Amino acid sequence: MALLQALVNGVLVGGVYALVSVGLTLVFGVMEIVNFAQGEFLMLGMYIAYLGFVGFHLDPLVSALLAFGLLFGLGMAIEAGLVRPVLKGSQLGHIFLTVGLSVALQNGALALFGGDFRAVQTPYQVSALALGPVRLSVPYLLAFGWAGAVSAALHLFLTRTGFGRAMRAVAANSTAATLCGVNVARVRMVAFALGCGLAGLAGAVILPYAYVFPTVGFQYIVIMFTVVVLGGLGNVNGAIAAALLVGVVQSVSTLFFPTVLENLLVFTLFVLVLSIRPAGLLGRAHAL
Amino acid sequence: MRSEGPGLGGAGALAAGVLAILGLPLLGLSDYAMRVATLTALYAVAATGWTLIGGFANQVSLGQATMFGIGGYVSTLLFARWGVTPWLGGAAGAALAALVAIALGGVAFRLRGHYFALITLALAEMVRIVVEYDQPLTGGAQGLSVPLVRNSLVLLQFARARDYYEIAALLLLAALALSRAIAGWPLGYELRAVYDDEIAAALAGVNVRRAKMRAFVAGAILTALAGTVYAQFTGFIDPDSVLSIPLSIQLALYAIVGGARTWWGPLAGAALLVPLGELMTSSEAGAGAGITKVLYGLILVAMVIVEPDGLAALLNRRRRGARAQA
Amino acid sequence: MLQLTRVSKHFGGLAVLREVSFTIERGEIVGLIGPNGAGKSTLFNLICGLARPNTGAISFAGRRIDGLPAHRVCALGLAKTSQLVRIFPGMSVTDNALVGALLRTRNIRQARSIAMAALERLGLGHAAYLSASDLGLVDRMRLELARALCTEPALLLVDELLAGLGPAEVNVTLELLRRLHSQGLTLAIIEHNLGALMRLCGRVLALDAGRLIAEGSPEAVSRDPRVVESYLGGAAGDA
Repeated sequence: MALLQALVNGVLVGGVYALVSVGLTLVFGVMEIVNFAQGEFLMLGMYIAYLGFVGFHLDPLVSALLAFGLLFGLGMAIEAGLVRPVLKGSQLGHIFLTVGLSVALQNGALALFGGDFRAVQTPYQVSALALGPVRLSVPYLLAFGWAGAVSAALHLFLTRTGFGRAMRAVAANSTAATLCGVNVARVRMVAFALGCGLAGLAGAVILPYAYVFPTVGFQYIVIMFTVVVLGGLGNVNGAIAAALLVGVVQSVSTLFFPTVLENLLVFTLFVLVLSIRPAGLLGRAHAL
Repeated sequence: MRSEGPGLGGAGALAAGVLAILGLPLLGLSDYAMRVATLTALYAVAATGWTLIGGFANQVSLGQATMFGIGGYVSTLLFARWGVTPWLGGAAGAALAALVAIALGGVAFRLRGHYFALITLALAEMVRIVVEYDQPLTGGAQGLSVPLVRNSLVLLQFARARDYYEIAALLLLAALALSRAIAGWPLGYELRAVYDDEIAAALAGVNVRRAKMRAFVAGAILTALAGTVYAQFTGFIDPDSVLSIPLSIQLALYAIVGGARTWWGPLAGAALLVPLGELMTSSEAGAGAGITKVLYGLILVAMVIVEPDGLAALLNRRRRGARAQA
Repeated sequence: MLQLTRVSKHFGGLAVLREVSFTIERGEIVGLIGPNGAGKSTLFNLICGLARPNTGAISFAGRRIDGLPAHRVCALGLAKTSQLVRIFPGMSVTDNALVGALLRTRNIRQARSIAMAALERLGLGHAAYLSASDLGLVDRMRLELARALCTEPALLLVDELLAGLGPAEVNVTLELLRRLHSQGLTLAIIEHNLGALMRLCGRVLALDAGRLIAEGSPEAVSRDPRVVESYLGGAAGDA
């Protein structure tokens, strides 16, 4: 019975991982950079929702849209002003640009908000639905619902709209896409902004059940990388499946191991997959 | 971008540099200043370890602190539990760091691209989780104190900062000498080839994995040794101070700011940023916590946009300009 | 000296090479032709160890080499130059060549003199101390050749050396290849410039859609109806 409950919790959490990881994998697919600041965009989304709640009594699930919009805009600015100049350079620049951003944002938040753990009190915070023997926590369920809706919207965007298809074309082969008349620069900008926006949205929707503090993004970032690598770098559907898997592994492992070790299992999985199937459990080869 | 030469002038300048590093305590600086100098030297060694693989071969490690922490924890545990002198403990830590590097490289160097950065990051987190979990052995998140015994070279414990400084300075000179030598060895040429184009390097007969592995292991050993001396010097280590991702980033930052493709860049970066950081932290009010690190982050961003090859490249360019005018 | 036996390669579901078999004897100059996408470059990549075939065997000098990494293949005496000229732009011209020579000696001074000799041989001696990034396209191509020669190959695979060169430069390059051949190097060459191939090669292989469709003297292959058709089809597709 505990196992069933853990499975359900894992899937619910995994849905949120999917939301953040999809942005990460999209950016990698289109720009071949790993956005190490993705966790900080999630953190910013949480603070935006927190401020919205404290200042305007906005439910975090509503501020999620605001967080998406603000971080989308921020993402566009960052892409145009900071990422674009280093794209042509070496890998060191690709990595440390976003690493530097992550350090600056994390500590900027520390200077601005202090190191306190903050949370919001929603009416549904502790409520749960009973589904037979399994309890579905309402905040988790709502976050999962948001994640599912956004993933579906994203899927439609990528498959049904011209711009979405162009984005997939760039991810597959940017030279060929250029030759076919795709405006690669704009696709990159939107992809990066979308990645940031999705992270911000995810941050807002988890606020009803998670604390926000300046380094919260860090708790998620290694998990996100695990998800993205398991799913195959650049593979959106792979990331979604891998996110659910990681959520379940994490959740089930707490049945057998102390909670502090839940991530150890996830990271072990990460290293194992890299040594056995580097293209990802579900992925296509991107490296060799 | 430029090919490697001795870099800073000829043999005379080199000798002057060695004397300046060793002779710093003769200036009669305060104990506090010598503490900062010692920290600078140790971080410069650790950053040199990062640069052998990160700078020379463009294989970015985001977990170099793991090696630093292994050096610190192994020697401190051996010393605290079984009274083993840190001289031996440091060697043991370096050996363990080398083994970890071999295992990690064995997985990561089969892949190109960002996998090395991701896997070093994941390993760093794994090591931190284990150390924090196994509290009975490692002291967990609370950390571990080095038992204070007495002023003793054998036990690598001193009353004065300047004595630690001399040890750190010797280690620094050894690290710089190794780094400079590697740049001129076949390995150095191979790493530069790998930096520019791994496939072309393999086609030219370079054993790319072996070259990366050698650089990574050598760097792991240097960083671990710095970790051992750091633990003895501060008398206390915890996961935050020696095993954290921010420390890994900091080490890379020193190398990048100074010039990650040169043997002296990590020292230049550390000499600039460590004292600056100490100055700012000591003057920082409680409310402003984090401002130093914000600055670090911004410096990193600015550096990779303006000049990813660091101060070294700026210097080179100026020297070239001067030569062109002459 | 080089023998391919029923070599196939596919990427995902896409078959790029299907059961390709041929041999190259010591002292030959063999041309490899075919329309874009025929699988020529993939074939070279399989031979030099950048990729491994899904099925089939590749032997060089009596040894199986499929599955060996590129640097091991190179050490056995099989070098390749790339279609997209791949030099080390951050290193000096001499150091570029020196990296190749390190395969034969671990002594930097010796490696340097091997490199200098190779640069002289290719007429790049005057540029030895420049940065490789300062070279023009023709000189970059020569530099890549020099680096390959420094690894002391017995067989050199040349992937589209002439693309982007003017007629005069083509002649100079052909002369260069002929001279290397006369000094004992066996050559296999991918080339779109059929006229040039005809002048250089004793034997030509034609690939189309991953299959070897013709093999023989340049004249015979160029008149082979299947080859003509594949090129016409390819040209129509390109236009």
